[in-house]
Amino acid sequence: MKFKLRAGDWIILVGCLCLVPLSWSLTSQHPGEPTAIAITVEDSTPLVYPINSNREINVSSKLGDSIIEIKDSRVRFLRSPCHGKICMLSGWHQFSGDQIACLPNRVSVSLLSEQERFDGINF
Amino acid sequence: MNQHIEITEEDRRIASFAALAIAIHVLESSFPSPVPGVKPGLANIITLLVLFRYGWRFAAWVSLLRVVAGSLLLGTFMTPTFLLSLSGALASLLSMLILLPFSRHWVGMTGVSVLASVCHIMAQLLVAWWLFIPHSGILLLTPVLITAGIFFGLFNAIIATSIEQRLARTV
Repeated sequence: MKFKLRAGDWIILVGCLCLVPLSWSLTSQHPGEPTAIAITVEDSTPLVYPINSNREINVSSKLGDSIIEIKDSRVRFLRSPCHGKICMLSGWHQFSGDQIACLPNRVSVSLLSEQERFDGINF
Repeated sequence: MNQHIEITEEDRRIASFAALAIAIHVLESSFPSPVPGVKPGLANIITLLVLFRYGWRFAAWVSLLRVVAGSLLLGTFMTPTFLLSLSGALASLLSMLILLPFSRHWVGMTGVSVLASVCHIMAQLLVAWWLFIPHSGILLLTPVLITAGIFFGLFNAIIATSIEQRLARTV
């Protein structure tokens, strides 16, 4: 079977192929850098701290005291009185929109930014 | 009231090709697709063949008849699916009309098919964005859909070219 492509065919093909990375760069969303963290203890109003100052925050809740550490624009649970220590094991978090939760202790930390990040799409 | 509508040879031809396209469309709707709404659009092979053999007006008739009658048969008439299908068909027909002056020497079936396919699928995305999912997140699908459009445009073009070459040998 002869399959001959003419000049216009190539132009259209290459043009449409170029549209793919172009549309990718135009529509992909760039999350803003996180600017602050919000610590929520048992449905109370969140405590907001800026992320650019290194500090350790002591939070008391149902099971006891947790320590949340901010360092180098990252945040983690340094110590937690819970049994499973999942919050501590999840390590450092630095992306805006991320959340660390200690469910038994009812403490959660979320990273805030100026621009909301859209992280998934499905039908 | 005695009205006499003349049925021309062209009418019969349009009806035959439209019937063929409708049959392909209905059969194709039974294929599973990984992404809902993204289909190869095999009925467009008929549209392509008809465009190059009989002209744009003919292709427009066959394409739009296929959209309406196909949706009636599948039970999607006047549903969101129908609106998407219709807008895609109109956009691809428009792109064929634009390419018409070039179709003699510069552009063959492949170029028309790819451009029509990409226009079809992008028009559907824009209509979906406008009417059904007015969230800018839907535009994240653009690179995926354009790739699918190029791929299926090429796929249909290969089949249509093969058919046309066989027809040219026998007719």
